[in-house]
Amino acid sequence: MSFLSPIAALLAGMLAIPALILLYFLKLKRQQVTISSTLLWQKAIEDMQVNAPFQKLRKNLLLLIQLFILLLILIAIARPVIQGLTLSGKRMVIMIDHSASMNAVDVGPSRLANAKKIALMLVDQNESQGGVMVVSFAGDARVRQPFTTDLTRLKQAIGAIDATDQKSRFDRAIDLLKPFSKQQRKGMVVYVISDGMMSQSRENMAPRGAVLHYVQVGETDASKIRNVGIVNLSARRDEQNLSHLTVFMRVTNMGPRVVDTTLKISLDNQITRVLPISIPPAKKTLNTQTPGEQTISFDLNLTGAAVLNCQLDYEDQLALDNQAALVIATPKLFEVMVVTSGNPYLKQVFQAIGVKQIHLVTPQAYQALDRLEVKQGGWQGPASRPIDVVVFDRYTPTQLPFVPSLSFAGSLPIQGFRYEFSKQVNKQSALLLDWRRRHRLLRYVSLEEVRMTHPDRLILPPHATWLATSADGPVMASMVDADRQVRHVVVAFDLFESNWPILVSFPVFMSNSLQWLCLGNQQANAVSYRPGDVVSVRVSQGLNTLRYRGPILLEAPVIDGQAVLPKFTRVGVYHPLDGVKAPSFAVNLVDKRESNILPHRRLLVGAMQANRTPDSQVIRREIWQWFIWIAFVGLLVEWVIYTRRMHL
Amino acid sequence: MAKINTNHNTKQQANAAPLLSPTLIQQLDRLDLVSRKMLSGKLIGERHSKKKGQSVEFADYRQYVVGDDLRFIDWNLYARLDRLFIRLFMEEQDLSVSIVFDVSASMDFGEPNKLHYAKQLAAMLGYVGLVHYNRVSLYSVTNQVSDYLGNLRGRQPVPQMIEFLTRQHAESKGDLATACKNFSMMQRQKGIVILISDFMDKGDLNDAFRFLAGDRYDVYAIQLLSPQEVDPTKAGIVGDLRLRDVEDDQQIEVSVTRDLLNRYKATVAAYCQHVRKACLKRGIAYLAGQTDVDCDVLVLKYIRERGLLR
Repeated sequence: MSFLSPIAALLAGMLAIPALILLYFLKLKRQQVTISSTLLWQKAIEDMQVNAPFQKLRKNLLLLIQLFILLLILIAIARPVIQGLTLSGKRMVIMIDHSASMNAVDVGPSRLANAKKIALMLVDQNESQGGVMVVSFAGDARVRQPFTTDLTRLKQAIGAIDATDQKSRFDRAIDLLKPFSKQQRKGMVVYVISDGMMSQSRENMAPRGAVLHYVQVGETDASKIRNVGIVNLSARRDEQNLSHLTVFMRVTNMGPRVVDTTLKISLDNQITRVLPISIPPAKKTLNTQTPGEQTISFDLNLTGAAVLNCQLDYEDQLALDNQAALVIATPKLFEVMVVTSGNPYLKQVFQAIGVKQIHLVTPQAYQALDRLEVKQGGWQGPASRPIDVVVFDRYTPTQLPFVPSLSFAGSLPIQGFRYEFSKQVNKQSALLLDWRRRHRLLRYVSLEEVRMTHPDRLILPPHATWLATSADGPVMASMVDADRQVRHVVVAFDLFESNWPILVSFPVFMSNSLQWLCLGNQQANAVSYRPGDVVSVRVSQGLNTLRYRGPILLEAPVIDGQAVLPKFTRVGVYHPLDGVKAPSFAVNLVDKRESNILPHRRLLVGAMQANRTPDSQVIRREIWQWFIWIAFVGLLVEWVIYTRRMHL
Repeated sequence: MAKINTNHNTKQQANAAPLLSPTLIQQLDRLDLVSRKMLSGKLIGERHSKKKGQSVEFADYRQYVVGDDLRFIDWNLYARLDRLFIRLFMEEQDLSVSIVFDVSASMDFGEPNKLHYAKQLAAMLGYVGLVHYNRVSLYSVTNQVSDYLGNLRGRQPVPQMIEFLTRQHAESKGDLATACKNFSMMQRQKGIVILISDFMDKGDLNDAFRFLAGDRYDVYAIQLLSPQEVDPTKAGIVGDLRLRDVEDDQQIEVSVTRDLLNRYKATVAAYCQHVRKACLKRGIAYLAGQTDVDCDVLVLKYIRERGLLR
């Protein structure tokens, strides 16, 4: 045990102890009472002094107790502390996780509040001259306060860390440290204050020369964890009956007991249905705990647009995963122009998907069409409706259309983009090595079984996004026309030289393409975003700032008719302000990992793991409160002794 | 400076109560003082004396000598013994009753007040003595005999006795030994001595009692204590106090705890025993009384039981 303020205690003791003794032995101002005779009182006192043992001690017992109480108070003034690691010569980095799971209230008031408290204690006990740095991490990592010895700044930085609903990307936090760890000769001590719910680490992640301590926050007893959450929510309109919407949902239960609750379903804040649900409990395996899961689906009748909100009526330790929302747009059927010399696959697939109309145009006929008329209508007479998307099949247009386009085995005249046709003679089958599974185009699209014969090669401009690659390079990419901000997708193989048209993923891809190319952020099928996602919104000219109201206010400048909103940090539904015609966004946690709030005992950092450091070892705990409590007990004992003496 | 138990109005009322009430007088008329010893008096009274005198009660014979009254010759005895004898009779003489009561400062204490109680007691015993034509003398003592009213006989001086008692007030320091010595020098007559005091004397009581011992006096010692002296909590004596002796102004500081209180009570009991033993050692009859017992109860019951009254 050591003391933080020994001088203060010494000074207080030098004043208090003599004062107490002096006061005790000063004659009490006694009330004088006249009696008939002191004869018998004197005899009684003499008798007591002769017969009672340890009289002097008994007389001074109260003084001894008071001195003991005073000693306890002086020790408390000296701020005794126990244990803790004293750091000297090393810089300290405090990394605080403020991801979604840190909003859990299993340890009051929340895990994040607890983490900040621990961080403040670490700052107080730091004796290193090298300084302390404060880093917060969730979806991104951010240095809140560079290395400094200024305690006020450090504490302010810690206090300013707000909760987010993002998932935890610890790798980004480690990346922040690497430049600093290289500079340190003596190394760094890094305290990671988290519940361990991190995204999977990559190899060689741990910074050199840094000693990692993982300070776990959160309830470690799995039987005390109570959380249910929505981990998946999607909705899809029936292509044959667009007013019929099917909602799919998956919920999990982290607790040890079955949860019987209700699911409230509302459209535009009007409750339309309440479903009773029962979620099985989590199962404990040898090393982990597998949450109980329940899949729910239900149908809704919805002809127009609405915000669908699903809420679990259950009070648990993490509230933000108890609800999820979807912004469901008005269903739209597209006018599709297919420029081909003949491709039954394309016709069939659009018929299967359900479009408003398919316009089959030969390449020669397309060449004669006016691009503007194609976009605005009248491209084949006044009755011709505007085209929503053009699909090029084995055709390279000389001019880029004004509307979104999808090209198979053909180039597009986009600056910086080059399409190299394959010169292979032998028909060797190729497969796709990788694809962006999370891209909207490829959602629910599995390309594992796709085979193609000598695919062509795409040389992409910097702004393009590759979507799928083969051994020879990208075979699928999306690009944006810089002038008109129109999207285009290029697929670098011939459908006839591939088995894709006969696979299930082909119509799904085509449907996704139509939605993404034509509606952009507005989807016929409802989608949601996650904390950390970034969206860009096209707005009408004349608007300088685009604002959204929701759980927090979002603001973004409008540049050339487009505003890139800041990353979503909080879940909820965001609506445009100021009467701007812009889409609403639903941001949901829907993350199974973040909903599993049982803290991890180990923190995986690259190939290493940092075991949980009990915070009692990391932090010097002040124990002055115990001395005050003992002093209080001593006061009670003194009172009892005094009253027993005086009680007659 | 606080004096315990100074409910002034109650004290005045208690002190203003008549020393003898008509009802009490009726009861006292039936009583008489009794001496354990037959003591000679000066005048003919109502009790036996050791002296042989003229009365109806035969006492003894003696041989006839020339000049004796021929009426007292016992002729029956002459017929038997052929010798002349004179019949002797008991002389009925008066009894001297001395009532000595302590008026030192310590007596003016308690509720009921000890001094007033002592006066009542003295009045009652004095009355009994007077109505039976005994010679009653009253002595108030402190460290000497401070006042005296002597040789009262019959009913007539009863008001005088009452007045004498009423005007007595507590004075300063008491010294029982000196007071008893003074008394013994003043009262040469044999008789009953009733000593009424609290005996809170810091001197040796044996020194006081030795002046009263012997054949001359038939001494009855009545020790009076107030309830507050027996149990100080009734006087609110608790906590840290400075106690001041009313007689000699001695001060002692006490922290009245439960232990000390128990010890004090034991000391009081032991002291009363000490006084009793000192009395018995000198052949003095001892009776202790508390002032919260009605005075008539003390007289009519307890003092009668002790044999002073019949």
